[in-house]
Amino acid sequence: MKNQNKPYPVEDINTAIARLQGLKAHFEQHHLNDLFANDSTRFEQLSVVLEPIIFDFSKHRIDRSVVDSLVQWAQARDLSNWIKTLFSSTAINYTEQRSAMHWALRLPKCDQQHQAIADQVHEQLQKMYGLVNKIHEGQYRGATGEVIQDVVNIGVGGSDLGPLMVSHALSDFKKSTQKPLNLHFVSTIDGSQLSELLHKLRPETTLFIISSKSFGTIDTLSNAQTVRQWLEKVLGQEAQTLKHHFIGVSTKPEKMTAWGIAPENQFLLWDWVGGRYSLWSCIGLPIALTIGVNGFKQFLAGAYAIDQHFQHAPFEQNIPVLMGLLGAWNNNFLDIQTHAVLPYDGRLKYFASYLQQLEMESNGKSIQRNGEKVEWDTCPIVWGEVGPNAQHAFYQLLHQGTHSVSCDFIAPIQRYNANQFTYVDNAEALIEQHHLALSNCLAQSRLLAFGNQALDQSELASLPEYKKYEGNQPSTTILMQELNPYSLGMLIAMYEHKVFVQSVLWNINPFDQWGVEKGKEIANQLLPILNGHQQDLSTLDVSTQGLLKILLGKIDG
Amino acid sequence: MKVAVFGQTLYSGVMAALLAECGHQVFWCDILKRSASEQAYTQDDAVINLLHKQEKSGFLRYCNFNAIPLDIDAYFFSLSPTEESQGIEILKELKQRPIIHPKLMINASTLGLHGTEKFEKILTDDDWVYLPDVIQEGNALQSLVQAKQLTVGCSSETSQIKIRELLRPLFPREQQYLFMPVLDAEFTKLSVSGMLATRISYINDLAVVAEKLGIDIEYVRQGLAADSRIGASYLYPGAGFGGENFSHDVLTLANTVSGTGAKSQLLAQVWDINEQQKEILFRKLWNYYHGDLAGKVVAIWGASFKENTSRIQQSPIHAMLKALWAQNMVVKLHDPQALAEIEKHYGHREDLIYCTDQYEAVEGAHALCLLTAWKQYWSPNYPELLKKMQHPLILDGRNIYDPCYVKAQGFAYQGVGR
Repeated sequence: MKNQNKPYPVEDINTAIARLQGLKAHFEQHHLNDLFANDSTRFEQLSVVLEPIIFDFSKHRIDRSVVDSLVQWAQARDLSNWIKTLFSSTAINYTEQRSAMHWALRLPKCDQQHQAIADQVHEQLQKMYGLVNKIHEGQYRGATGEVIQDVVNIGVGGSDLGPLMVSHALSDFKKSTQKPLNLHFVSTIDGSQLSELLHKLRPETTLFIISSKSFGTIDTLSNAQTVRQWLEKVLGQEAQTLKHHFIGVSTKPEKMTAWGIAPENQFLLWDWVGGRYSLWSCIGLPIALTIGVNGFKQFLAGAYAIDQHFQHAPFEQNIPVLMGLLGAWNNNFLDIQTHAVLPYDGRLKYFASYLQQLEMESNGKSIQRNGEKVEWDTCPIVWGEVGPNAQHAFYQLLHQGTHSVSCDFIAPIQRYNANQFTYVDNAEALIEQHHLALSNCLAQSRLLAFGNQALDQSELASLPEYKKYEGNQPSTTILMQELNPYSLGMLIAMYEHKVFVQSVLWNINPFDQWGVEKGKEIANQLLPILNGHQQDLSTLDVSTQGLLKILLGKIDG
Repeated sequence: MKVAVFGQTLYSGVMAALLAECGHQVFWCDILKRSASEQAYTQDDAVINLLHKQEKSGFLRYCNFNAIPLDIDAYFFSLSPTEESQGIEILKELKQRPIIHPKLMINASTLGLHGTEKFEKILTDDDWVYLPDVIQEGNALQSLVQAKQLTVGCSSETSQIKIRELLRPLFPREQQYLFMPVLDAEFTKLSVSGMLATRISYINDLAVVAEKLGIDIEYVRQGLAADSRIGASYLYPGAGFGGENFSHDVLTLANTVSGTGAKSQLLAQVWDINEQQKEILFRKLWNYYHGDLAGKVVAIWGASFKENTSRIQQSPIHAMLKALWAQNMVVKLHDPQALAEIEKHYGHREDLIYCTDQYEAVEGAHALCLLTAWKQYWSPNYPELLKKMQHPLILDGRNIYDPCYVKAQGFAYQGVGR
């Protein structure tokens, strides 16, 4: 990317970094208490509202000058052009020669700029909506003509985490269906979820979604094989058993056909969608089954709103850009090496694990786009848990441990307000519980930031050391009017683009995952040994040899 | 006695006719009157004849609300469940009138538990009685006059005397009345429907098993019926029960039970089994063609929820149409009386062809589904069917045909549980 005519002054990177280094020295000495004492307008200054989301970053160890300098860094890195490149069909994922057009999955039906790709996307979406409606109307039938009442999603990684996280998060928006409809998720290669699940289901009324971008993932295919046998035992080894009980979602129609998925049950996605970005496509079928077609459209619309915001808002007001910059500031300048995600809403139970894949698989890299070693620490360790539960687990370390940790607090303002059938009978008591969660959310971010200052000052003097709090742990608070399909679509897209922003700062490719490919291959080498088809262990290291001998002894005995 | 009858149900018709026949002066108020095709009582010839006779002899008068005299002794209300609010309005207007209370007030509507109490709250000074609707469609007059014992919800001595006097010509003996508190009687009424529904779902549930075991449910049914403790009624396997009132009773009872927090799931399952049963012919069709149904044509004989009525509420036809259309099939439908009702409900669409001749319906059909046991369907012209159908498959939703005979005529045949 060359520096062309820019509407803003662009410095070279070194100047921008040098200024940030200067600020670092200054801010390492400053406690958040001082920053708040010096500026009573911090909240107004350092928060962004993008309805229905409020993004408050005032509890970070920054001031306006830090934000400006970070933005200079992004401009020196040519972020604007990189964003344009992302939102194009350029092969931005250069190690696999692919574009990364997950944004195209949420294009509206008529899009002037990208009509051809929007058509392609909407063709598949329409097909999926047809299936969803048929299932919801109680007219999708198994081989015996009985109505499907259980749907099992078999997938792993992006084909599992995303749909699972969102289906769980939007459970309050569960679409009321003609007949009861239950959704299940199966991912683990060892079959533990299946063994738990199958004996509770009836083959006649169960539909399986085999969700695999490559349709070659061994985890998924082994689970699929097991359920296929389970079905065929009852329904017979006939083509119609496969036809009426299996849906396939993949980029590979020929592989789906070879496995036995009927052509009308094949849903396509494309190589230009990364697995961890694929929940917007037909991989999101379990989401649509949970929240219905209109809910899914809302979900896409929320993400599209962020796509627009990300492309057009000035960096100082651009939520994904700010998220990326603040993360890099904490990680690269303040030496905060882990980042905790703490939703104060039990429905976001799987959000942290979802983000672990999104962030760490994307930015857990150490080679720059120019082939050289990276100059910066890249992705921090991302972790987290539903806040109120985590308070009883690892918050001790956040408050009084020796590590610096940055946090994202996430909470909906309203909850239990829609008279949804799932909770309407107990709404009043539940609303009170939500307020309890909110007060905990605010209390924790306060205490983390201000430490002893947040305590009763009159008692402070008499407190023993072990009861004191240092504070100065930075955090972001993301509030949304309510957690609904639209706002969750926004939230996820915010993090997706945050990841991209950081990849630009660090000059890495966030769209490949070469680090997870090799393990699969080596497993394939070891399987014949465990199955007894191959005896020679001599090429392996002694540790693996030792372990294999024990395993083989056990299997034989 | 002077009796005012409100409501246009079959029960209203039966009561008006019988009370007038006994010499009571009956004033049948025309409030809630609907078009003739929607009036349940107009489908029963015996009731109609008796009504005509009484009108001619002057004991029965049709009148509007204002023409009802003030010195009426007994008011009889038989409203359908959907007319509850109109019933309340009628009572409020009666309250405005200078009537000398107390009068005998008979609630004969099935409005669930505490339905009578709701009425009583408006006219508090009168003697309220609950007289459950026990009329069977198709056998209306007999089902009342031949009742061994009338269940009457009634808590005071004075109202017992009044109701006995009103019904004395029909039920002269003391043991013909079973008096109990109103709420208990309301629950009893629902329980009767629940019991009957349970019998139907029971035999249908057995039919599914019988099919899997290669047993003919018809033998089983006859064996059950032969046991004097069980009897034959409401034990016919088939494509499910329907009907507005009956279904409403069962649902109300199921909801009442679950509303009390009791653990019982029996009635919910009775209901579910029946809902499943309504599309059983579809599932048979699906299996027969291995799910490959798109574009095929199905003939259906019968749309009304049972024979001798044009009414289609809760009839299995709805579940069938929905299921067939979801597979992009074309339906050719015949019913001797109910086509107009179906048309009102579904209008004109390409995948529904209305046939006024039952043989017209089977032309080009890949299957014939028999859904209602109208008498005219019992002995079809088999050669004609063979000639006209595209594929000779008969799905018998009421087990009215002899499987061996039908198969010998060259048809593929499937009944329910056989």
